[in-house]
Amino acid sequence: MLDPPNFVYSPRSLAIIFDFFYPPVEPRRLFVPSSLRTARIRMQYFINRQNLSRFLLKVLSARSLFALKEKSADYEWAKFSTDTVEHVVTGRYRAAIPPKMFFFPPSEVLDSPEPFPSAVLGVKSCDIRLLHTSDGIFLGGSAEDDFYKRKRADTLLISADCTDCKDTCFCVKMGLNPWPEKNFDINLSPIAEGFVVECGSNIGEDLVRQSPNLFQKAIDQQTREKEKNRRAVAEKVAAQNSRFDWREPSEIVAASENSTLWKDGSISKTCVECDGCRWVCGSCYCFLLGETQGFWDKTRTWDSCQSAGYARVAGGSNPRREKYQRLRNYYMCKLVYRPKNFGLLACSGCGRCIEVCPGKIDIRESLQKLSGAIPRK
Amino acid sequence: MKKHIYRPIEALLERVIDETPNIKTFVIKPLEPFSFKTGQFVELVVPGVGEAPFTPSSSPLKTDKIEITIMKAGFVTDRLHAMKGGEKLGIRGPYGTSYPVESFHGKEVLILGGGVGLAPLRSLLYTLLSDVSKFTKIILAYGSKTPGDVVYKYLFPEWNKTRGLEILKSVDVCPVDMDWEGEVGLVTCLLDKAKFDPQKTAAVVCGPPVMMKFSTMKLISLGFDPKDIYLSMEANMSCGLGKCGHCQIGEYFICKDGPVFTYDKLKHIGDPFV
Ligand SMILES: Cc1cc2nc3c(=O)[nH]c(=O)nc-3n(C[C@H](O)[C@H](O)[C@H](O)COP(=O)(O)OP(=O)(O)OC[C@H]3O[C@@H](n4cnc5c(N)ncnc54)[C@H](O)[C@@H]3O)c2cc1C
Ligand code: SF4
Ligand code: SF4
Ligand code: FES
Repeated sequence: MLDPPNFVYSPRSLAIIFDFFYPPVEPRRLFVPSSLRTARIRMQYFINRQNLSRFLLKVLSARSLFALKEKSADYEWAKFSTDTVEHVVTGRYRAAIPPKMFFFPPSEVLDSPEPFPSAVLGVKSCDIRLLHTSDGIFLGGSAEDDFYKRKRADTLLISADCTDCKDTCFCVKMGLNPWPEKNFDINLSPIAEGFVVECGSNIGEDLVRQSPNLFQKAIDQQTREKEKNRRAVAEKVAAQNSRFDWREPSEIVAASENSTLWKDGSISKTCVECDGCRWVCGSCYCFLLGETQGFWDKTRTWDSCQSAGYARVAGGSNPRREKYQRLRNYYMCKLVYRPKNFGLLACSGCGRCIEVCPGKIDIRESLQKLSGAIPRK
Repeated sequence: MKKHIYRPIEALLERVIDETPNIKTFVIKPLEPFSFKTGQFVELVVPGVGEAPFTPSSSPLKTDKIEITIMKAGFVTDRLHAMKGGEKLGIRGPYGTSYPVESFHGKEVLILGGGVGLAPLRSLLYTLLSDVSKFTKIILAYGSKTPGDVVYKYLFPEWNKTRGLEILKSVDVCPVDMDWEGEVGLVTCLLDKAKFDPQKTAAVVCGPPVMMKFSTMKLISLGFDPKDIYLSMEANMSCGLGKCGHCQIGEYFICKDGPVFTYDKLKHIGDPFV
């Protein structure tokens, strides 16, 4: 699937080619990300289910629509059309795969960035944080990545509150609530009769205003119901994480860089180096550039800092030769270096890495162990 | 052809100069204006094959052509070594930080190179020599594995005649059938021979990680200030633009925050050289 015959990969990139959950979305070329759009004072609207479908039909007249589809206990991203738009769901919790892959797909040919208007519906609070972390990388650095920027900026983000959580969810421990607060275009909060709608950007606000017959001003009872639902989910997430008493993940990890727990303790012991945690994490951004045989076009494929050869240099030296060093680097990257470089924790508590890990490594447990290793203030 | 940040400019490989059995110098003519500062690197592209980071070894004052000295090390470099001249290549960059040459004015400059690590230092040397009166003294200390592994052999006679430049050479081992007029020992042994005042000297080091590690330790023990030790860090790179993650050590992206760092910036990192 991921290996079109006209690509030439170096031996190293061949080693990282994977067909893991690819491709639930078609390769697409998608303008200013919603996080860069200015927010306005929020007005709350109400829309019922039927009218939401009508609204989405309008969205579909100008954009492709990707939204959630239930698949056993999980959600996957699917492309919806005018025929299927009534089946769009906002999702009780986040999808199995982070929305990063709309903007930074597992493999893509870097020819010319082209506009591709689309909308992604069902993005959760944790996902928005994750997108914000990848914005730091792709829109920052020595230059902006045109490919990411184009796709990101041209996509309408329709987020939604969580109405439940998975047992791996720990957003509240990472300073987030299970409902989006900013950096979306439109947010949907499910209530019994439909949805309370908030606009987070001018683009979102304009879209809602253009359909005055579909949206009403929300009444107090509706906004109260919304608040009540929100609190209930936040409490559930907090309750299922009550056994963890760590705070300030950045401090814990920075202070325990030299802890023997990484190596001798149980943190990295059961890691089987499958790279699963890296593939599912919405804040991971590592990639490898390859060549296409068409002159000057490059391919970009996800890479993983957990693989042994990732940082090895030509003479054979390797700054992270051992498994525990690589696993520690993944915690340092997300919780220490990225806050230092971009001012933002690159872990949202989405729990995807916990879910996927065959070695049962749980970042919450690791932080618990490490917090014991450093003196308490 | 639309431009984007990963798209190289076209270049022509004009000539290949043999240096040692596994090192060659490639003379490359970019087909669009291209300039760099000494210490910065480029991504050299073999179209349809791959790309790798290299630091030009020619003078940055020469802008029509660039020279890059490359060791055969793997996929891309093997292909480059099979080329004869006339081939089309691509160049992206220049990327990263450069040597702060102006801050060396009025000082002694100690250049310490190991193996193919002399390549980026040759570019620095040309820059220093173009304005040689600005520096109290320039010392080039160069170590290679054996006499057969010495690069730029044809340039040393001329460099030896240059005023204000002192050259010291060492080899790790000298096979019995080879002539060698320099020292035998690791490159750090040259630091015992060279005469400089650590308080008034900027040391520039480039070579394999292990060589940089022991050289830095020695320089510190000789009384160098970590702010006066300039290291050109080796890292596995892909994008060169601070995006792909490959070159990270600690919180730095070597491609963007480096490759030239003072040791002062790196010393808080556990072991930046392994
Ligand atoms: C800033 C900088 C400047 C450099 N300047 C020079 C120079 O002037 N002359 C020179 O000969 N070499 C230089 N190098 C090293 C050179 O980049 C590597 O030898 C080259 O990338 C190997 O590529 P390859 O495709 O031939 O090897 P591969 O077949 O890809 O791999 C062979 C080995 O090299 C490692 N490797 C792969 N890609 C890279 C990479 N991008 N960077 C480092 N190691 C890698 C692999 O992990 C493997 O161990 C420089 C490196 C850096 C970071
Ligand atoms: S590290 Fe794990 S919990 Fe944190 S954002 Fe990545 S996948 Fe989610
Ligand atoms: S981590 Fe929080 S925001 Fe994300 S799905 Fe779980 S409950 Fe929702
Ligand atoms: S080489 Fe890609 S981040 Fe430095």
